[in-house]
Amino acid sequence: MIAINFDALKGLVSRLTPKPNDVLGLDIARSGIKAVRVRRNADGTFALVAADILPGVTLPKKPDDAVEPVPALKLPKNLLAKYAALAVTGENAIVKLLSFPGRAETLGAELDGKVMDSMAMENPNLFRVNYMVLTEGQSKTECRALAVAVPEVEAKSAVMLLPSGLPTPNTIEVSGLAAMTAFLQSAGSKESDSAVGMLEFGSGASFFAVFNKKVPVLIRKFDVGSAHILGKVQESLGVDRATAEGILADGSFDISQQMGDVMDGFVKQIMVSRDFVERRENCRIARVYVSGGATKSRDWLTELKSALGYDVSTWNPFDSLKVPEGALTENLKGQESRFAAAVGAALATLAEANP
Amino acid sequence: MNSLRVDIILESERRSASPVSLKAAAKIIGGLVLTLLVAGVLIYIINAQSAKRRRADIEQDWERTSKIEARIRGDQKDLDWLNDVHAEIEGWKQARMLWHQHLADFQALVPPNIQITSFQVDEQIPTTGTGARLTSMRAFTLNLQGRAEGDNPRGAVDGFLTALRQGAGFSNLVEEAKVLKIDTNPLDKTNHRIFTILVKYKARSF
Repeated sequence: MIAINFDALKGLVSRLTPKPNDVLGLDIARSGIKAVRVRRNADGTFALVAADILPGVTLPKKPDDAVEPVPALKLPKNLLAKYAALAVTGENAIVKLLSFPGRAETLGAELDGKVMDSMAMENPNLFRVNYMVLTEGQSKTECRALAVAVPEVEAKSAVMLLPSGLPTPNTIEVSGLAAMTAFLQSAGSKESDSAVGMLEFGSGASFFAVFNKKVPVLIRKFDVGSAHILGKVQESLGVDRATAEGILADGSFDISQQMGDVMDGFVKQIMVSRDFVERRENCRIARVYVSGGATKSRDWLTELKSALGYDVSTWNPFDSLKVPEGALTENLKGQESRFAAAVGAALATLAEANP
Repeated sequence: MNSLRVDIILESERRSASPVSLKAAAKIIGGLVLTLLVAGVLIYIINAQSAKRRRADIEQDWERTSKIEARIRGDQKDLDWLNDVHAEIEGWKQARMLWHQHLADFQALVPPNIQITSFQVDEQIPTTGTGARLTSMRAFTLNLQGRAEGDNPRGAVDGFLTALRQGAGFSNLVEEAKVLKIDTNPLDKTNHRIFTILVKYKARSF
């Protein structure tokens, strides 16, 4: 009888399968879908092919939301890569940086159970859960894992944006973490000897991370975003969404009170986290880098700087890419910070395919 | 590269970015093999039909040619028979004597003092060789009887005999001429002689 080794066959097929060299990063949010097409050059560097902000889409986010049909995403030709790396806002996602006693190798399958227990989900069946073991900075006595639980309905709906043809969905991740990946390739790559904070201020949720010598030592998700500020402005000034966005961007009205109402609790939590990390890691956070749609608001940056008492800097996610002339259109200049998650998603896919 | 990607996509949600997926390729190859098989069978059937038609045409040709062949064979047989007849006639022509000419020559040869009383020609068909080499000949003998007159009738007979052997129209045809009998006539008181001469002609092959 002939014995066929299917594992070897699968391995061979996997080796023969073309690896992604041309990826479209999509940061799916209600404020707009940030799309970034990145290609891997022959010399191993990455180059921006095109970028755009497409009309936003609201995906069902709560774990018990019903799956609704999502219209297919219409992409312009210059964004038609072979593969797509999707990033979802994960407003109802659970993101945790977990520490367990013992090393990952010795914990083995036990680690899966420990992660599931630590995520504290009411109904695990409504979530997609995965985690990665962080190898860098791992001590001999502790295993650190970055775990994510995203509502099944949100992940499923995101894939429905690309139902057929190119690009094909290759990965789904949480946009805050994707922005952190992009940060580690640009501004974060220069902070190899210090501890820095990184804040991705999204539309409905924000992520704050602290990197000590480029190693994540804190990652937190907050249910606060620019949508909350805009909502407060709309409510207090009685204006529509577009006007509120204009007010936030140009600073034509004093909205410090509205911003303070939203940001106070958020900033307090960041301060608590900061104190905890600085004590535990015996470090001092030098500055905080911010990204997201709100970074174009001078008022917001001032408010944040004042509240945190840190040097707050914006950073450009395209710094880690070669940007040929024409790849980034004039209307997108000044909004580079909004593309952090899309760039991070694309870069992570390219890097994983070409280690 | 430092990446904080925690991927939550399901394997079933990943589609192949290849223009042709393995599954599709397998389907295409399967379809192609099936198509080739069907095409092969169709070509075989078409070829078989074509061969059948060709065979029918050839059989029809064969039948038509057979009739022509039979006719030609019949004609050939007739031709052979006619050729045989022709050869036989040619043989007879070659073997025959031109008696009208020979009789004219004979008339010129007979001297005035000799009177021929009997001129009898016999024909023989001798053969030579055996089996396939068997050839037939045609030979004549002339039996002459006559009466010689004059002062020297015996001399007249001798002269006549010489003329038969060497005379014009005889020397090339006669093989032998001899007097079988010469005598006086008991009923006749004269010095006349009666004689019998045998002339053997050269045999002629057919």
